[in-house]
Amino acid sequence: MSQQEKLQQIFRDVFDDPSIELEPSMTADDIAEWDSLSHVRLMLEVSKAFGVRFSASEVSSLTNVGDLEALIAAKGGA
Amino acid sequence: MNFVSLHFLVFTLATVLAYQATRSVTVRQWVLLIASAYFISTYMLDFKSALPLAVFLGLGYLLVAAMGATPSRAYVAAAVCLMIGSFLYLKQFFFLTAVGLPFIYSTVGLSYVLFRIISLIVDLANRDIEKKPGPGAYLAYTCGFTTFLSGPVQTWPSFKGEYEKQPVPITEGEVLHAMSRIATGYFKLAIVAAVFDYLFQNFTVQFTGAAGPVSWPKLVALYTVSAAAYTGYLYYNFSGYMDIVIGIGGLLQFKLPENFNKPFSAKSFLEFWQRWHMTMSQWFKTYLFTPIMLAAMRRLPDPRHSAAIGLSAFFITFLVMGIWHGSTVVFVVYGVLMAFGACANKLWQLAMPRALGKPGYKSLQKRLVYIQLCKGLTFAFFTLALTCLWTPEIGQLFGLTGRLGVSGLVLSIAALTLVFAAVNLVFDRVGAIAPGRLAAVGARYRDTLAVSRCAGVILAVIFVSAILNKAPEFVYKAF
Repeated sequence: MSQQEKLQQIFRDVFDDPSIELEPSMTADDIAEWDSLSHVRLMLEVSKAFGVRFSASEVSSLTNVGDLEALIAAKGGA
Repeated sequence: MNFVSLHFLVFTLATVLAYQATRSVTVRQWVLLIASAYFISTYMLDFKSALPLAVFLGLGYLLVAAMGATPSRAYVAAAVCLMIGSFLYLKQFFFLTAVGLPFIYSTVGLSYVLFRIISLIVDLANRDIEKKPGPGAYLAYTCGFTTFLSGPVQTWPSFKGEYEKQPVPITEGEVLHAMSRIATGYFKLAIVAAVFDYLFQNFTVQFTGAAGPVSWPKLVALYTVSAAAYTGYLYYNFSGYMDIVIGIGGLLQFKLPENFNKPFSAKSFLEFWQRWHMTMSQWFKTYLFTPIMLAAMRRLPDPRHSAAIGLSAFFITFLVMGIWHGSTVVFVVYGVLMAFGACANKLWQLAMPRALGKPGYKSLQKRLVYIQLCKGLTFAFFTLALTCLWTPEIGQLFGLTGRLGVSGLVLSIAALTLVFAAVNLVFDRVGAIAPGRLAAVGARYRDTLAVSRCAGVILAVIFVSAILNKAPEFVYKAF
């Protein structure tokens, strides 16, 4: 499973929406359930799945899916 | 130094000219430091009154400088607690008034200095910042004159990028854009906010102080109009100040983050705080809300606990954010109101999809009446909560709310909601038609409009100040 497929599956699980198709430009405005609570849960699930740890600054400063993918790659997430 | 004074204009002009006269990064950094030192000195009575700020800054620098490559959690926690403890002591929070310093000193800007020092300590510990700032960069970051009084709260990486970038000649377009932004700021601060302040003062005096008793219906009406006028005053005063400092940043080619994004277009209280004083909200989100959420969710990973954890985190964050605005007991009430607003909003967002189903709730959210009522209620709740900011004594606040009673407050919130919703609906309709045509005209005559706007604002500021017989002050520096 590629990084994007893995990430897409996490999004679908966290937001309970199997129709989500990830795009790098996708933001919280594009997913109704993506609020500050689910964002932290999302980041913890991503952290677990990719074996990386995010700081509070990183969790708070992400603006879109592309930023998240780049951050996972920068941290060597597998 | 009053922002609406010849003193400030001369100071700004001298700083911009000195800054733009050189292409040396180091000289520009010195210009910023000297200008900032002078700017801050105008808020000090004498050398002694500046000492607490100097000690506070020195303590912050020592704590940052003493951090190892991998500081222990205990060190970071102790450093943050020490800074917060010093802040509470110097600001003379209501539970510390008996042990204050025996001389008068200034605490202007202290809250924002604290924000920046804590972010440095935490970000260095988390390795979000690779290199510690030197003493000059530290002082410029914590005390830069454009952001010293009330933000915007810039992150260190964003500040560093601007502080260290290689100078390039400023273009005519950049100057016009910056001047236009400054003119907008003065228009808001010295004209719109001043008029709202005039209305606020004239309405409040009719039901407070020596005005004598007024009938209950008149009290409710006067209170409602006063509260709305204060919200208008605070918004235009604060956002005008932001326009001015962001515009000055533009003349220095030093990009500052935006702090407002049409806050009264927010459809919920939580959205409102993503649009009002945005950099402060982001700071609390990064350094309080998210760490609480991460810590709690790691301990209780079951998604069934998410809502309870989230509500607790919202409550703590908004309570602290409210209390931060001042040092008296009234601000605890303000914090509780903010926390109540945030939690009630989140509970509503959680309950509605369950009650109506996701499609039903989505459909409701698209209805015009629902949208306008949500905007109205957000404005009304915030406006009533702001009463804490203009009744500095707790007895005064309780006295006023006691006279209004529950029915008076409910009536007031209902009136504010409906009037705001109706007015906003009209503005939305007009706004949907006008921008296309106006934007086309604006683009064609951009330069002429910018120059005309500056000239018009200068004349209007002089005219309005003369009529109101009062130089407008920047209100938020008190918080």
